[in-house]
Amino acid sequence: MSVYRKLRNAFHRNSTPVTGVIRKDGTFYLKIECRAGTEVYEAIVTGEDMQGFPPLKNGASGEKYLAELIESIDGTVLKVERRNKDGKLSDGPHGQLALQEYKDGELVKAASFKDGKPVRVATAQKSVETPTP
Amino acid sequence: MKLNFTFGTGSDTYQLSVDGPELKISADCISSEEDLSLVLKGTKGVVVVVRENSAGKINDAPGGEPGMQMFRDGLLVIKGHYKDGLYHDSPKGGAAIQEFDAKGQVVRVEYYQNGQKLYTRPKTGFLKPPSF
Repeated sequence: MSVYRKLRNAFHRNSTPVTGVIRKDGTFYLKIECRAGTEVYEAIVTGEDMQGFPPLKNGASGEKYLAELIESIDGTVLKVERRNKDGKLSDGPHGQLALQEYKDGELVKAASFKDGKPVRVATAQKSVETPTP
Repeated sequence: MKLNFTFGTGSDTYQLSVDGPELKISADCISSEEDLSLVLKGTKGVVVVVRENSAGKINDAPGGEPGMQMFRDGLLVIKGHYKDGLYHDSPKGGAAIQEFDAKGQVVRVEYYQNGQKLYTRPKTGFLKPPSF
């Protein structure tokens, strides 16, 4: 089964709204709608290789779905972002980081944001600026 | 993966280690306790943080950070305050041993002085011994 079909099937089975792009070279950009109580926010995963993507379990939603996805494609994720309803970088309702960046599977940047404003950034890439929210 | 750091200056210098089977972070991300606290929020699996004084004994950091902490998926599960390798209640952080549930609520505390156990409290009831 092609990776595209696997994804389509996984998303179809899952109630979590997921949108995004998977390019033919395997690089991808996925938006996952997350909810916590009445709060709705978006988790965005960017990666470089979706080729090894296995089927996801039924029923996972939001953060659970995100965790499952990241575990499935461990080592190929480049960036995980959380954005509030206004599209601004913002920590999740349970303190999940607004921004995490990876290189070769290693976390190289972790940043806390509130409504687009940086709260704290820890980075191994001292010369890399935090992307504009 | 295990990472070792040296924090503090002068007589306040201490060693900090971060260890976890699923830990994959660049050591360059962490140059302070604040960085560590931030980075740990995004870690998977079990991660153990240990702080040791210059004598190699587990000890709270000068800033009051506990001698030992265990995290699961970025959430603090248990912390232990130490003085020279022994459990010891912290003037800054409370009971020597504190265990937390998934919501961050304290579910168990144990009070110690110089390694000697005073007593244990469940979540309900007084969290500070009346004799203190």
